[in-house]
Amino acid sequence: MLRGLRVRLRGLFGRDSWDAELDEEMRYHVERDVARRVASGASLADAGAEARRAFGNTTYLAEEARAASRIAWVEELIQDARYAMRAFARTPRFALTVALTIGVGIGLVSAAFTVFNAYVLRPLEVRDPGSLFELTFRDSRGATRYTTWREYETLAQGNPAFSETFAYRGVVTWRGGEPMMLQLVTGNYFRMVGVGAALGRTLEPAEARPGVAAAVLVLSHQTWRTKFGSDPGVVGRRLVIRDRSFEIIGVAREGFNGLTDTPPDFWAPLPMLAVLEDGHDFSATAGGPLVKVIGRLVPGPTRAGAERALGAWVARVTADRAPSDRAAAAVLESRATAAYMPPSVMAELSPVFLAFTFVLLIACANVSNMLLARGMARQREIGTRLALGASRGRIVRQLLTESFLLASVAAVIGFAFSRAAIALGTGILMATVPPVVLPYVRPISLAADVRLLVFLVAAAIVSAVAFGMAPALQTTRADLVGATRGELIPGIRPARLRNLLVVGQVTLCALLLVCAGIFIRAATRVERADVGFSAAGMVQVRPPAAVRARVIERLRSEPAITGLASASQAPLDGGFQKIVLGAPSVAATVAANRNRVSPDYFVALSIPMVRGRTFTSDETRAGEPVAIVSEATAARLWPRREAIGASIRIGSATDPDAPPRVARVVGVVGDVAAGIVAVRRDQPIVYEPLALDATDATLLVSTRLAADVAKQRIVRTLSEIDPGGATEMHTIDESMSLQVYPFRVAHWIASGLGVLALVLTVTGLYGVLSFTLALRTKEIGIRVALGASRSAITRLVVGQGLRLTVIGIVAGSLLALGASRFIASRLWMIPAFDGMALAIGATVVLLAAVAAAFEPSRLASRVDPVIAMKE
Amino acid sequence: MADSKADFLQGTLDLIVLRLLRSGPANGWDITQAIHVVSRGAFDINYGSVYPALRRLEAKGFVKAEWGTSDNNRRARFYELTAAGRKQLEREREAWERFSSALGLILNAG
Repeated sequence: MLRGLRVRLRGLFGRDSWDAELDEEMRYHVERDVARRVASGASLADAGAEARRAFGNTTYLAEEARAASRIAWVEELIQDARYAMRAFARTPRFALTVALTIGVGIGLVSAAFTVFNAYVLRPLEVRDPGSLFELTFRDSRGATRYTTWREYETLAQGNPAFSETFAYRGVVTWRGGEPMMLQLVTGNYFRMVGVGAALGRTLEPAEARPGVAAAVLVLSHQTWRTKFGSDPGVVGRRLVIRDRSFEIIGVAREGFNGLTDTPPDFWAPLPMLAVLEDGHDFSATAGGPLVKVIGRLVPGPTRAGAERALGAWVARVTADRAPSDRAAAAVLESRATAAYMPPSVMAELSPVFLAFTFVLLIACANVSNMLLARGMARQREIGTRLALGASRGRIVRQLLTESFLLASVAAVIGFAFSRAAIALGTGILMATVPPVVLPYVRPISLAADVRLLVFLVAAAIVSAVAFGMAPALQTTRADLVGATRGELIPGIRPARLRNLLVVGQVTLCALLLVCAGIFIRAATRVERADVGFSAAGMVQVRPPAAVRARVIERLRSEPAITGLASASQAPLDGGFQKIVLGAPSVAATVAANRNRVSPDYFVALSIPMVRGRTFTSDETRAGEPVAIVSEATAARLWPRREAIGASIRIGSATDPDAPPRVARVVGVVGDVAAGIVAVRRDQPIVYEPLALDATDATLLVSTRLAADVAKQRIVRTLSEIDPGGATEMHTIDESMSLQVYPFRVAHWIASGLGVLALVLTVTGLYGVLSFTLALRTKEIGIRVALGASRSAITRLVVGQGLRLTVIGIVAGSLLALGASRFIASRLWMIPAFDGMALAIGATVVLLAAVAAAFEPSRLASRVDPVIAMKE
Repeated sequence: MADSKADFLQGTLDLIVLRLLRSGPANGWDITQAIHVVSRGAFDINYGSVYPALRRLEAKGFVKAEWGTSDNNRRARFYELTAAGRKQLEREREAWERFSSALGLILNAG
């Protein structure tokens, strides 16, 4: 076999000597035959002719011998590639246009893939990331439950699925007005994930034993670089966190940002939790603090198998909990990559990737049309080759080789484009992202890797088939006789295919533009949303429970601070708690939102008191069964009656068996957005009383200062009492920008895709109209000669373009209707039907089509019948 | 049809060449003469067809070739059966015998 391969390879590459040898061998045969014939009496001339006749056609035989000894398809491929290169050299503008068009499409898709790859596909740089899983429990109602320290210890001693586990818990602290993420971990953490120190050392198991834990810190490389100026002498320095001095013992290796979504700034032994926060007891016989658990699965069982084994195990271990807290099942989530994305979420996000793919598809349709036009121009050449006996398959292969070559160049251009797009994108994001988000964003490398390379190759192959196959099949269907005579026969089919491609382009383009319109309008709506309250200059802060009273006292004495209120949920920190409301006046219960607030909450946020009064401080202290409802709630529960003095039942939304609390309504206030910007304000909200100094509440500080100045002032005040103590500290404006930002980004991406799609579609339509115009010059000449007016000719060309466009717009709008219903079912701020976005999208596509038809129609109206007929 | 006939002839020619090489190395000319003599002129083929056949067999690894000196003192390419070629010949011969005996049974039946 090896020998055979060697012969084949020699046939491929040692072509000259191989040919010479075959030639010599055959010549030897013929000469010998001639000699034999002469010896038996023939004349030299006769013998030569006879011998050659007996031997057969030398050229044919040599060709056959060559075919037998070579890897024929490689040979043909090289031949085709050479041929294609010559063709491109003759028409470099054409080749460049194709490569650029497809390059932009591939570039967009690759840019999207690069981000997806970085978060979801690329394994973290830790030891055996594929076997790391986070373990959580689900109770019998399916709610997530965490592990107690005691349960973790049992787990660590022996369990049916993990070879090793570590526990962790996050603590937020403040340093210079910025939040720092401290991750408290068990002593085996660094050894288990296989991460060493860039400087100093990492945690030792002995330093993390409950009771004897050391106050030591390991910095993340990123934090060491950005917050400590890469100071080589940082090891040994001390850092005060929440009144407690920690020694920095090392810096973790570069590129390690933990296994969780939020990148830790530093790590410390888990038992230090007891000195950083009150109320944690690691020695208690009761559960102890709640922790999160990540383990390394033993090799062998599948994830589902491990979940079953752990499910039975955790049910046993949590048997001594209260019945509703017991674990019913175990859930494992992979921690192999920066972001965990189960298939269901991937399916939900697939439309985003689809939108990028649409632009590539539009580019492919453009190029398909260009190739069709070029194929018609080459019909004489192709027809001749078919007539000379080339098989159709052979020519299709050759045309596809051209497409593959073009697509490979496009992939290279696409790669460069994707790098540029990513650089531009990250630049814009970094310049516009609300600073409050940054500490929570995981730094991630968007560098090219082998997965991107594979993706680029696959994208090139797929697009080559997508844009090259139909034209190749179409072109080789040429009418032989006509083609060799040089007649260009448009025929029915190529025209139909061309039109189909244009309609497809317009459809996708309209779909993308309408969706872009939907997102732009949603972003504007969210940005301009009237939340129903005013929070200018307001800061929300969560001081540690122990010093809360002192903090309140100090803030009260600050002259710049105009008011203090507290709430169990800050006004824009996400959805409020869901509850169900009942009243004797209505038969069924009403779904509503609940918040607990101090008496001054409504004044602080300028929420109008419509009727009745706010809570009294006696009510908050005693926890009286009183409630304040929003206007919408009052309108739903007591449509034509007075709400004040009425009684309501407040029940759990998740547990229908829990008995509802009964409360008396003392006030009605204005409607506000329930925790999320731009949520409908007519959602019912119920407020219950909360003391200003309640330990589990967020403090809302009203000031007469600009919000960021106010924030700095409060940071200073707080650090005098308890440095780094707050777990939360930002302005309400920051909360708002945080909620608005994703919409802004979505609308930028959607608009970018829409604009690119539009440009590609317009150029495609222009190209097709110009090309059909060239085919119809003679016909138009006849029309003009027969008396057609210039405007009639213009209408003819514009009409052709518009007919295709309108079909595409209708199809695209129908698809967009479906798409918007889908988006609306996922994102509540998107309406299921957005007539304005639909109208704008359709109009833009239509106007663009008219613009594309303008130049061809102008040319058409100037056709000179005399010249046209002579051609 | 034309294709399958060509395949049949090609396969047969390959088999004949293998069989003739069993008795020892030979060059193209020797093989054509042997075909003529052994088949008593029954195989009316172009002598030239032997050369693609030889290259085909060489590419499959059934024969190996070397330049040597012919009986009339000229440089000629000599072909020799390889072990794989010997095995292939054996397989083909058995297949042919099974086929012809089966055909014989049918044609001579009843």
